[in-house]
Amino acid sequence: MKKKLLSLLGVSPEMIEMAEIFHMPGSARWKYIYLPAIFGKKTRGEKA
Amino acid sequence: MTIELENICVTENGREILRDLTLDLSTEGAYLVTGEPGSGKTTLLRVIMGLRRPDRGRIRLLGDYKYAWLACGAVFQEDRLIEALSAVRNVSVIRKLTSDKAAREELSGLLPAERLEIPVRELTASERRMVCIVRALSVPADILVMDEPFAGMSENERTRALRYITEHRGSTPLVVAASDTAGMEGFRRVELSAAEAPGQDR
Repeated sequence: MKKKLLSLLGVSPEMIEMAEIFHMPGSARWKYIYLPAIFGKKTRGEKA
Repeated sequence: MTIELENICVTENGREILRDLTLDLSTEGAYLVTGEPGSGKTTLLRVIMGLRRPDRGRIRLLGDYKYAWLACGAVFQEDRLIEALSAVRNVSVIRKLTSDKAAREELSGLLPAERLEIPVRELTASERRMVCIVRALSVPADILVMDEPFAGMSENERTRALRYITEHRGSTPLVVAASDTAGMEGFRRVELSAAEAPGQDR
């Protein structure tokens, strides 16, 4: 369900799987994968 | 621990990808899954990782205690890297306990120092695969699953990557799907054949 919702919001299903397989910490998932995909924002440290 | 796959069948769009596949993956074993495109290599790896539930058959995890789930170190068919982050950060963000320093040390076994801190989208295809390999080996895993980990690598890079994997996996079982099998003569081979006309890997 969560996976489906995230996909609908624009998060790549492949990256969701990657985060799940590696048991990536929730904070890192949101900061580096989910939020940048949802809001199209650049990740901290990325040059404009 | 042994991972036992028993009579696994997977069908997609009416086409049988895996038919009655039985396989025991035991501790310390290194397995090479080969076969023509469309023979089900990627599908088999996805079944092992728990990303694809088989339509028939079962997977059992046998060991000293009951395993609720399998911890995998994975190299996916696609890189699945966080493009904006450096190689070091791609390895360190996946696990709270891995520091940038530790990630840098691990990566320096395969990549030159000047390539470690730039965004991975600026790396070459083979350098990106190296990052994927180090990432897979940096997590505590019950099994390592690698789908075409040497794609795009030169012979020299491939040899280095293979040596790195062999040295770092310890006794963790390793399953590699590869169409080019050079350098993997010591691996136990699992030969898959396409049930119908060959197509793209699934």
